[in-house]
Amino acid sequence: MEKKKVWIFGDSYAILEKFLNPDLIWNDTTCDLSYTWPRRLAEKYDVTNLAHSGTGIWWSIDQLKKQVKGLSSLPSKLFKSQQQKDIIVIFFASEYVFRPHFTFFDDPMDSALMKEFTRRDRKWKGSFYKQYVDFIKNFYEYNCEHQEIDDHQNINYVSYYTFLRQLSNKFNKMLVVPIFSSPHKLFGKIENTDKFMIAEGQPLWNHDEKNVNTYHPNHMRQENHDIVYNMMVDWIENNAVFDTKKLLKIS
Amino acid sequence: MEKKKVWIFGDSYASPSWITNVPHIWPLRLEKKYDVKNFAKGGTGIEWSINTFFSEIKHYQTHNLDLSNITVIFYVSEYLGRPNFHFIKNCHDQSNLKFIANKRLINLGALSPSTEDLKKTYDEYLNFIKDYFLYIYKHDESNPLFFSQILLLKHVSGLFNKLLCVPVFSDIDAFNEFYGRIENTDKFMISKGNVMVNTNSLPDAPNHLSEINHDIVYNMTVDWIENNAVFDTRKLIKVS
Repeated sequence: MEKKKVWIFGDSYAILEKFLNPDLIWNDTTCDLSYTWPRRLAEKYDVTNLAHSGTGIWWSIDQLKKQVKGLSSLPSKLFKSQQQKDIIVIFFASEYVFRPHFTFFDDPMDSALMKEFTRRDRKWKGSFYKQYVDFIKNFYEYNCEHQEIDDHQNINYVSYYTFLRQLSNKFNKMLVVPIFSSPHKLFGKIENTDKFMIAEGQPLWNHDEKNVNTYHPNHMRQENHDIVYNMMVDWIENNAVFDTKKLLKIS
Repeated sequence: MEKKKVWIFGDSYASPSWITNVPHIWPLRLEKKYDVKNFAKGGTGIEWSINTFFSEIKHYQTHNLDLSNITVIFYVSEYLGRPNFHFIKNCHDQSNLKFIANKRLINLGALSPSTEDLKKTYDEYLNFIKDYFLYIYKHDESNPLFFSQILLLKHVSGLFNKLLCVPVFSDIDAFNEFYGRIENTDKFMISKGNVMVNTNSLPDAPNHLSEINHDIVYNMTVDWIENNAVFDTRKLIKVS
């Protein structure tokens, strides 16, 4: 039987770790990464994982767009559309304001570094971005900091969650897992549909794991990889709710 | 009988302000028929209009005021091309930044300051403005921010009596193949036909429309408010 097709987008919370970087792992962690949920999901399904550490939401949406365009080499529009309807999308929704999308990036993951340039002198990649530092600082000062940041972010989060819900109509279904912020309910709840689900519970970043497992694969320990994997499979197979409240807390 | 409440947002295509008072323009005619609050300002971008809109929503929600009897008309302008930087001295200048970012001196219309004057006003920020259009604007021209703002408006339309969305510069149908068509609802409608700027624009005319097109826009707007009739820009008389 043919495996279900799954596309995964997002940042470090969703990447498929291909190799172990010993500098980034705690000493007591096993070097075997086969327990991570992206690895296990890739064994069970026909997975295309396009998540990339440090990237923001619009970068991921660009990847999704490119991936769909890739289907256009197929013989007909109708066939392409049918193919797209078979695809299950898992979208880990990252940042917007603090992970911008500049043309001069050395690597898309550098998006996450940009805000750091406004706080102190960065050593890492400092020389590469030296000529852009003034622009980056000014970008935040002129573009973001004058606005009521919570309102600005809430409005933008609502806009991109509603955008993802619109996109879900073209696919088999889509699960969106908020990483840093859930869609704000002040302006009306974003309802799930039979093709679209937003994970229940706190955004992953608010989970206690982040404080102790920053450098672990996908920022969580093995027990939570098991839970995420099982919830993921249950959503794919049975449309079960994906609920981050089920994750184990450290504290 | 109490007049219906109407809020209008957008740029010069919806703004009531002109140097001379021109009574035939559709926003002023609408003010006679309805209880209109017009927030539109010439030259502004979507972000500025959205922020203004959401500030009003928040104010109403915070004070438990009723939004459900308000009808909203939203002329959707440009996003990245009209940024809302804090140093902008006059919100009308948002649309002019891209012109002062390059060396072209162009006629911005009789109602606008010259590009030379604008360069003097924003001299301190000129390098940043140039960099912005180099590092963000070009790169993101095809990004879905415009489309997502329309969806945002659709999402909040449920809070209101209803909301009409009129794209000024970008053709929403061009996004359909990848993003899918945005469906109208009982409370949300996107205008049909060409974007406003395409076929009907007269740069220096009030709202860039001829007098006869003001009549057409006024009648279509009233027909939408009263009867939910389709607002179709193909009915406008083309400028040859």
